[in-house]
Amino acid sequence: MVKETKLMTMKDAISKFVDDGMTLYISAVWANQASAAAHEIIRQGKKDLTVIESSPGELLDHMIGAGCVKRAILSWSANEAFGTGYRFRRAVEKGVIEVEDYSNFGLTTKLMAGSMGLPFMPILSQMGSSIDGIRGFLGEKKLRHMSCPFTDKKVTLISGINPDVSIVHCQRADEEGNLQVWGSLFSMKWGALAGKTIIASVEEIVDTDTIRRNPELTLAPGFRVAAVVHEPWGAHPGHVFGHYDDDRWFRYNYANYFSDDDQKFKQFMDEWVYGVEDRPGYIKHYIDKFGYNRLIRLKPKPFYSDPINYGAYSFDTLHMDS
Amino acid sequence: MMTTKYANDYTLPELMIVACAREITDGEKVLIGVGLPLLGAMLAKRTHAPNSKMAYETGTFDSAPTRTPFSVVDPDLVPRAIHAAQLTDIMSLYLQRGFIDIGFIGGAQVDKYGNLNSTCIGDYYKPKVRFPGSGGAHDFGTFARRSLIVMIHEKRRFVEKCDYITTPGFLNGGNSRYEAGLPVGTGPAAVITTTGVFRFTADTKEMYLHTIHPGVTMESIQERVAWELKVSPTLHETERPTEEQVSIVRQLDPDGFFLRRGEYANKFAQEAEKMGWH
Repeated sequence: MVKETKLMTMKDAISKFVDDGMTLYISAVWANQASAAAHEIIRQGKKDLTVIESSPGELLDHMIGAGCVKRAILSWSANEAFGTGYRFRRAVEKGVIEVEDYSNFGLTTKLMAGSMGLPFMPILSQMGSSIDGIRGFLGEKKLRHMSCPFTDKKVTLISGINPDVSIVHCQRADEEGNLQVWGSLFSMKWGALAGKTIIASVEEIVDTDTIRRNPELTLAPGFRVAAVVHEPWGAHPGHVFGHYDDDRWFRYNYANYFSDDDQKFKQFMDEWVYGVEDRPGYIKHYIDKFGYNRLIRLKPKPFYSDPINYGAYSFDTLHMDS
Repeated sequence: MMTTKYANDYTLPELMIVACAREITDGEKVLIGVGLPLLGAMLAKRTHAPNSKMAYETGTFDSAPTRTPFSVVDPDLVPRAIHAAQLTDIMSLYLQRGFIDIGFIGGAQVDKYGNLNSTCIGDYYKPKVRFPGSGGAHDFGTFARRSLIVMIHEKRRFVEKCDYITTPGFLNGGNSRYEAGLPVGTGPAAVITTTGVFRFTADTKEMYLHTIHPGVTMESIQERVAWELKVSPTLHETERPTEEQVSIVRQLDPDGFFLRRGEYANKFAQEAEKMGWH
């Protein structure tokens, strides 16, 4: 049997799997954020999307500003510690997008339920607040309460969700789509696994043997992943553990200079999204404009974990007389 | 015994950071959000609470960063941490289970029972101002034994009633928080502000002024509170930072990301201009 390859370009992955009106999970919490995918969605002019992510930063801001988003299910959105996400803020204030608010735990539980094939999941928060009392477009389907059938304790039931497509950026995969990630994962594990279809961009393509030597790092086995895109620097200006740090300087300028004003936002998008062909084009533009050193200084020195011993087993370990 | 040397030269944010640090007892497990409390927790760990453990909702417990993290998503929180996991692990295995002592939270509005709004001003469906939203704050405020609220004290922020309750405090006071299903033995413990430190009475759960910052008058506090503020019978001045504390805080923020925002911003903007980006 010929080995199946899931490798494709971001252009092909987005045009093949993302349609107008879909519900998308996209990893957008800075760590391993799917920048390359978000920008390709914008370039292809996708519309009326419902986006779910716990605490999205600038990628949601970009997608909203570009007119891709109709609804957002989230817990928090801003340009992280660097400032307000003005595209998000103005779109909500003007009623251009609809929002459903959970807390981070509530929202990620929603994805966790979907990942596990459950229609809902009980948790003990969301009570006593407007998150509970005030409903957005999900209405009664946002959450409910019940008394635990065993203890009578009051619990919150969060409805599960299975996004049409989940898009994540990870450290590595093989050609079959066996996907590995490390670091602190925020919501991305459940975000990825909840999806009906998974698109993954990765920093590195590795052979299957590398995957098999570190099975605990696997986020999703290849049969769950529809497309693998080899996209070095795919999370910039966010970080990828072990590959590069946050580009605080770039990020700070977006948050405080380009995000608020309509003209400046357009200038930013024309330059960094519409003005480049793809992610390699974006990185080339960055190097041409700011110099190679500014990019490469984001790479941390290596800090390796120690190899662990899984044990090499054979029939021999079972026999006394061998 | 060594006498404490109080600092004469300190800023208001430094006083607040020190007040945050003083709330942390050695050995406690602390969940941190963004902003000043992060420096407060790092200060506590370097002074009176070396065995305190910091957790971050991004998914790490007992991180050992080499630089001051700029926020909860700083990648430096992962290498050398005791546990690197994911949000639902921190929120359920640590927080929901009741193992977190302190959660630091902020907001745009607070009312007299410590309910917090970080979602919107005005109507939720067509807000006058939309803020980022809960993030983990709602969950910290629900499950932490003591939630510590850190806020700028302005009249528009200390309101009779929040436009939206993002994070439940004591709801309508008394036992209403627990009657609504929130865990017994949890709730707001203090509000650390730019004017003083506020706490909550044991029975009515109403906020009262506990300590007043040096140089702040009672009148200026009352006029920035929408309800008639109760005051502790033992009201005293907020303990000033020591020289050691101030010096550590300054070391923790060498770039001025937290404490000299203007300077930090200018540097970044100038660099961008110089490169012809703006």
